[in-house]
Amino acid sequence: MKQFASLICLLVFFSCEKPNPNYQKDAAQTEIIHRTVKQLSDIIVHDIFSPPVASRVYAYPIIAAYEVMAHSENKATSLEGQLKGLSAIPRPAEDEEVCYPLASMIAYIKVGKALIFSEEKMTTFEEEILKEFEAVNMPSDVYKRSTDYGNKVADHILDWADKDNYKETRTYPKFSIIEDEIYRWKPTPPAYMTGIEPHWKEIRPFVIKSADQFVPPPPTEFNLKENSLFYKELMEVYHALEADNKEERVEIASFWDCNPYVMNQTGHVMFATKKITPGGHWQGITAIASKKANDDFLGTLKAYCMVSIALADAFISCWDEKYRSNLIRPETVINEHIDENWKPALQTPPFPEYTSGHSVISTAAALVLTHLYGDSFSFDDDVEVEYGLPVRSFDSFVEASQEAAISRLYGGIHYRPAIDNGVQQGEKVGQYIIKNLKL
Amino acid sequence: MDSSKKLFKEVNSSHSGVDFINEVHNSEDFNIFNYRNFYNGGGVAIGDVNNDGLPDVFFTSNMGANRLYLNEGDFKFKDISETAGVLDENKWSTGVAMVDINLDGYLDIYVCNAGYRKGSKQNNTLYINNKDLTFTESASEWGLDEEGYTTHASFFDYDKDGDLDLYILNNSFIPVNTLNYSNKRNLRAKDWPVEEFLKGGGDKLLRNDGNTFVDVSEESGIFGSLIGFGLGVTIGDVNNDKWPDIYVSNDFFERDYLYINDKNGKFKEDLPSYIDHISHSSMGADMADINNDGLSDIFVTDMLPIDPQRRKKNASFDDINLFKLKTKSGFYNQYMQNTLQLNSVDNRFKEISNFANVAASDWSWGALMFDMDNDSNTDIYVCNGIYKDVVDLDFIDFFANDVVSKMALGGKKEELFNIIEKMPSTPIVNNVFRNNGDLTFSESAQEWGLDKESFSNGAAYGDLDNDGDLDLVVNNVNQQSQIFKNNSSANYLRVKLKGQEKNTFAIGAKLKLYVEGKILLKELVPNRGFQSSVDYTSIFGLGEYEKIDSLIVIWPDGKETKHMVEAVNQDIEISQSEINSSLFVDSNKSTTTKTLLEEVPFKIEAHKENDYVDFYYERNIPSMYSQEGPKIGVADLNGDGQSDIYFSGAKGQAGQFMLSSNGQFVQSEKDLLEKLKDFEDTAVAFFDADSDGDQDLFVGSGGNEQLAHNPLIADRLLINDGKGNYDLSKDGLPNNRMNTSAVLPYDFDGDELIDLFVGNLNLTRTYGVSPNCFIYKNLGNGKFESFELPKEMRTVGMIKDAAWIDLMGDDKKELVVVGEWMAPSIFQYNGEGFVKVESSLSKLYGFWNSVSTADIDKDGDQDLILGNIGKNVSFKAEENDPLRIFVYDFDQNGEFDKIITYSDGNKNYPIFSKRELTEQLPILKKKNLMHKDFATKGIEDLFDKKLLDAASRKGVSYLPSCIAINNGQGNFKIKELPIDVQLSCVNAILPIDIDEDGDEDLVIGGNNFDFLPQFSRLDASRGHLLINDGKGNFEVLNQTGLSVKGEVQDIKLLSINNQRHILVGINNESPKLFKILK
Repeated sequence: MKQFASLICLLVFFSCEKPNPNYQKDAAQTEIIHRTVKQLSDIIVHDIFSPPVASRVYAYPIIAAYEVMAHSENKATSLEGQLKGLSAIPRPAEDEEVCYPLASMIAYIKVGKALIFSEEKMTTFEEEILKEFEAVNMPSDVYKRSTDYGNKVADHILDWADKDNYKETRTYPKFSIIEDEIYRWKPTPPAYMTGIEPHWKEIRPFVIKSADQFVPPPPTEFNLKENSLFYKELMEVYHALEADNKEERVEIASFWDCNPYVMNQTGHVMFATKKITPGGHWQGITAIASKKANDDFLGTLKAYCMVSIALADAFISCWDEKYRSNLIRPETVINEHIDENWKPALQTPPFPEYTSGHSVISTAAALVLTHLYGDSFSFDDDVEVEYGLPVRSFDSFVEASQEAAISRLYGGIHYRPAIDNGVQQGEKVGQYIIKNLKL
Repeated sequence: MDSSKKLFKEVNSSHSGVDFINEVHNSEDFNIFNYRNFYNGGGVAIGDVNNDGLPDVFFTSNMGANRLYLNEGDFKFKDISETAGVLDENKWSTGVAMVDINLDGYLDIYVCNAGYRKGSKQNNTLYINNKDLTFTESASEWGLDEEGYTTHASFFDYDKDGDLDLYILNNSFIPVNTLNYSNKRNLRAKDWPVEEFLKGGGDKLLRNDGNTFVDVSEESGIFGSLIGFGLGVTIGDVNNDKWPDIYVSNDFFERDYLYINDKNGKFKEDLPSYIDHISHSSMGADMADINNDGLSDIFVTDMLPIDPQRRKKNASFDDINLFKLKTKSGFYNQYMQNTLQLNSVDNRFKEISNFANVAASDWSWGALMFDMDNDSNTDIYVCNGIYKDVVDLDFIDFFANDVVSKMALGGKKEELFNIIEKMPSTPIVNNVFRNNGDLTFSESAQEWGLDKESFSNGAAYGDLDNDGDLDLVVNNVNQQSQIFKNNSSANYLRVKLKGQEKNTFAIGAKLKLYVEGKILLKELVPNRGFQSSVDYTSIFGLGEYEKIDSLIVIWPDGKETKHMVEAVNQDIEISQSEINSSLFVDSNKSTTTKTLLEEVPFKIEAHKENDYVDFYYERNIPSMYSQEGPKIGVADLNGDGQSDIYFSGAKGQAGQFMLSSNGQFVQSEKDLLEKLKDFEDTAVAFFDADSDGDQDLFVGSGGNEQLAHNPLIADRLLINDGKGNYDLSKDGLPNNRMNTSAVLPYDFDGDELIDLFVGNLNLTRTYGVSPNCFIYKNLGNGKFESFELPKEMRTVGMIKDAAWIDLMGDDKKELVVVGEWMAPSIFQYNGEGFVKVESSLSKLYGFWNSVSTADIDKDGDQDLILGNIGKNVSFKAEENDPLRIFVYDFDQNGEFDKIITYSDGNKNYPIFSKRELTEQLPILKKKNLMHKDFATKGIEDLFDKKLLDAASRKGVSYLPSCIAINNGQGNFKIKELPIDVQLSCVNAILPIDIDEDGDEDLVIGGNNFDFLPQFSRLDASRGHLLINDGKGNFEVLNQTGLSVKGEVQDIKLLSINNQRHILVGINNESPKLFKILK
């Protein structure tokens, strides 16, 4: 960061002179990508997006950015034809130079801006970034062509995004509470929010064939008899924090909470505290890995892109199952039948239990990262520091994803099958994407 | 207006010497986060502590010392708190009561304490008056050192043993958010599995046993649960049996309690039998008579902002799931609104706050019902405001997190109390609702000089300068307390009662002043409003009245005395022990009025609505359209000269044919109807479809559940074989796949075959769009075909009802169609087709539910009775400020969006919140992420003009139910039906000469419980019997024998053993049968 800043100062000094011949290289600062993704992440937190919707907001901008770079001389593989419904991306005019890093960030920001709400936050950031690109001192016609091209690709991606059934699903029926089906999910304390995104399975997936391509085995049959499997699994959640390593378990649960909207209530006073979503956390891990691996500009985009696509498809797959099994949360069952004063360590998120979203999406993301960076990639995860949580260190992506998965049991918001079968579901999604997506 | 000429004038503290401020400052270890009631504020007591004839004033203070100000006349006061020894500066004082507990004729002071303060206990304190302006704290000696978080306490003689008992209102210690809406009403505080220090809640009833008080809560039926978050205890005679009853207003999810005195030392908590819906976060309350009928009405405050913009920034209404969860758990029908419960003859209350314009007064505390301008009508004063806007929605969604995340970034430990500093703080004007004398109120704070912005909590009234009107004292948070001098010049009467023996101030006495047919009622219970206590002298405002008929005093022991007081503007004092025995009267004469109707048993399976919630399937609609039954058909099915019945079923329930046989009903055709049970019946008509002389049956289907491709939404025709046996006609009817609402047989073309009008409410899940309606022409042989209609008729509106009526006097009937978002529309058959007839009804855009016809004014032509939504609804709609609905696919996703708006004359603002509307149209968040941004936006700001112009729109600007007197040729004179009818919607109308005096009277039924929680519900109808005076004027008959709770959907006349009966169909209940006793 500092180096880059001093480089800019140097460039600014010469900027009135003649154009910088090395502008392609000088503009290709990976640090800009990380800052841009982080900016989007921050706005997602501020604007309040649920985890599945956030995964959509992460995916389209990075695809746009990657597609721009894919048409640079590097000739990486375009995603057209690989992602459902994505038709041929506009090409830059032959023999006309484009500054691809600039164009890719233009595309990212434009698509991102369309999907979030606080556009002014992105606009301010964009102005900052553009100043930095201007300081690279590329020829002015290249600068203009680059922004034009970035915008053109962005428009193409937005047209495509517009057809993914997102806006149609806004008017689909809400989740219906059916009282006499005792296994069926009900809204949970304290805010008793209605089930979010009951029709997310109807969002067009990116790579997987359909939302129900990887249907996990059904959850354990609801049964409150004391010798039943369900009861045992229920009691495992109930007693999860009675272990010797209770404190560690609470730490793990809190670290992976990733709840974008926790409602705090005392008397009539209410306020929400917000964190990045589970998908947002893996965007952060991707940044850590990519930086540590010294990826170049294209490599960085590639990592974010592949991870984001895996996350988005993993959410679609997971949400398909959530509103198939519509399983009731442990908090509801425990409060109704075991202990009305019991509260989970984490606030129960507002959607059905099975499978665990964090398990599915973390596993898918970890597999993609392992594919890119290897299976013994150790890293210090400081993504949650800005939310007041500590750094945790992991020896591999899979180790992190496994901890994310089990954290939901410690957090009191999932039974074990949602975690075990969720991990398997995530593996299938991840593997399929690795196999079928060529970047 | 010159402020000196206003009704109230604030007395400057430099003149009064009253400079008390209830100062409340949060600190790290004591703030709104760890003490829920941190901004609840203090109370006021007014009473003459030194018997010098001048009422003195006591303020409670939360963090500082309480204050006693001695009234020295001319609104000059002397602070004697320190010398009097009543400071209690280490306690968080809340409520206060002035009562002569030791029976020495001097008022003692009972102070309630709550809120943990370091180094101090919150036991209540009792200051015994030493008669020399000093007091001695003696709570523990009297057994009154209650240690709960007491909000208030009220002394009264519940068991009529002559002495004063005590109700202590405690606010639970339990953090509300840990309770998860579990109903533990019956679990007494002591039995809760929680730590000891949390058990101090639970209300208490203490019986006076001479020198000490004994806790009799449990044995007398008082709930003592920790889910009770009591903020108000109001005592009065609710059921007019001269025994004191108790109304407890509970904050949060617990419902309010109404304890009816069983006259045997016990109470029966029976709110649901008396009251249909209540305030949700009930705060302070009061009880007084607002319509001078001698019955005490109840007003309870809540937190609903008045200004619609502030409502959009601050109000979180329950969504349908949470509402259902709470009602299912036994928390009853609670809505965020003030409630004004009008006491009715049958001791059932009618909630009329929306009709009365008193439903909203923002975050409210004290409510005082008293005659502020001495015009003889009881007005309402509401203290409101919260020092920190803790429910500001942008604070909840955005600002709080910004603070938290900044602290986390800075590496600082999260200090919650820092957040409080960032909360908005908005002082607001207290509400002054002036009683207009017709059950409506007008906001008059400004006009009466009470419009200073403040954070007010407790208040009390008393005649501080003995000039015959009530002055007002208000306790504010972090703002100087206020004294307002009342400058009324209207006539009055001041009455002081002296009790006897163990109740020296006659608490519980009722005073009834008779003036020109009115009864002005006061109940002598000084504890009123929020944490406050008013002066003991009763003041009757008499306006222009110059002569009083008489004063009846019902003493606490139940004895009544009658006093011939004629002159106004005088002070009278009546001492119970010195009453001349000739003044005693006996009012216990039983007065039973003969009723016109008598309910008789009727055996039939109850209508049973299936569990279906329209709101899951269709967003941003105000109410459900899936619960429109039952409908009743009456005809002689088997030719035996008796009325038989078809009673319709909801989805999953078969309809029932009931054949009359010697006054009994026998079910028939069970098998056939069982096969049809998955249809929901929504319209019914008997007629001769196949011209064979018997009664065939049309059953319309609806339910707003089955989509159009589903055969279960098709209408059905059942053909009679002449003996009352029916067969389903396979192809008799054209295919109508909509939510059918009306079917009216009539031979419109004079071919001697009976044709049908079939009206539809909507296409399933498509609110706001006019569906097609049909004329089915009878082809003979039981077959019908759709007759071509002009577009203006075919899609006339969302039809709820229709009638064939000869309006032109040419023996041919015209069709009148009514429905939602439309004006009553008349269509005439001109021999070729139908044409619209313009009339004076054409501009009455309403939510019409029903229409009926009769010759009301006996002039030989047919008039109309039109049932609308009424005037007790939570929204306003007027000709210049109509409600509108815009229907268009605003986001181009293939689905119609429906946006309902209200108007302020300039813009049309959505009635739904940002959260509700943006769920459907997330794109709107781009410019309206903050609730405060959305709050200012009209639909004109939200969408391009091009889109709005493309949207279809309808409006509503007329809400009352009315009669339309036909002046011939389709000209009508509109007359609103009586006020009592306007308190709910009118769903069913039966014109009938019930008293057999030769003119048409009306039996009317209504109510609608199907709204989203933010729109409350319409439940103030018990069924109405309106008696015609022969000229078309209707009088509401009170004791009719007709008492129907529930949503009436149909009313039909039938004859059983040649006696006239009325059958009332009620949604999701058994129908009720009434015999007409004439």
